[in-house]
Amino acid sequence: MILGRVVGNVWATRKSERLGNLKLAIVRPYCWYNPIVPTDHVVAADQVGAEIGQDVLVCIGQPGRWMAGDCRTPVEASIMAIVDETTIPRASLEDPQVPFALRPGFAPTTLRLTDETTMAEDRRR
Amino acid sequence: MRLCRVIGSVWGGKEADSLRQEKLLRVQEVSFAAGAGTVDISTNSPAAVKSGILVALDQLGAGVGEYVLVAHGSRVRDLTVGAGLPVKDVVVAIIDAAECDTSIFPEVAP
Repeated sequence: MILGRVVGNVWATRKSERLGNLKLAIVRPYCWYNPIVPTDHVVAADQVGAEIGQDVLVCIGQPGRWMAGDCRTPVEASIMAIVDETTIPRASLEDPQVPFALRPGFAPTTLRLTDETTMAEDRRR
Repeated sequence: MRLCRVIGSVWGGKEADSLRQEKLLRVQEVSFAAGAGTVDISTNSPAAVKSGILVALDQLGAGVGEYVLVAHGSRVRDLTVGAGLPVKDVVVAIIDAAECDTSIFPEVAP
């Protein structure tokens, strides 16, 4: 899965019939979770109605096809949610066991890095 | 799925029987430079720099210089061009227009 920001739209008339009138969005990823595939951009089908500038969650592969309508739609990525806020414990970024990567130099406003202690305090509350 | 620009074709003197009737394209992946404002790829803006080259099967009839949407994977191949073709990258759409606002990239400007 990918966390990214919708940065553009794509229009096409000559396309595979099965694509139908699917809305396509260009997403700039800033965070990857299992597998880590640091691509520059990903074009995802949008059934959620995300707007340019919004941070979104993109799923890759078969779930992406389900999300696009039915599993016979020839897409490999779909927007599955619009993100309000993400919290990541800082320690997990350094943990080699976590299949997780952030694009260097990212600064999305919806992403908040926390210290483990703060997380623990949150849980206590 | 990725935006790519068609840069040429590939022919094989000897190729798999299933590939004889098919057209293979050399395509170059588009990558957007941060901080370039709104990039409209149909104007061939230099802000849409190119990166890796791949070979994709095309049944839509894309020409050199056109922008296409390339999907990867065997499931997409089965659904578009049919099973039994030894390819993994398939052209699923020919782009009329694509707009990308690089000023809102989720990154710190250099």
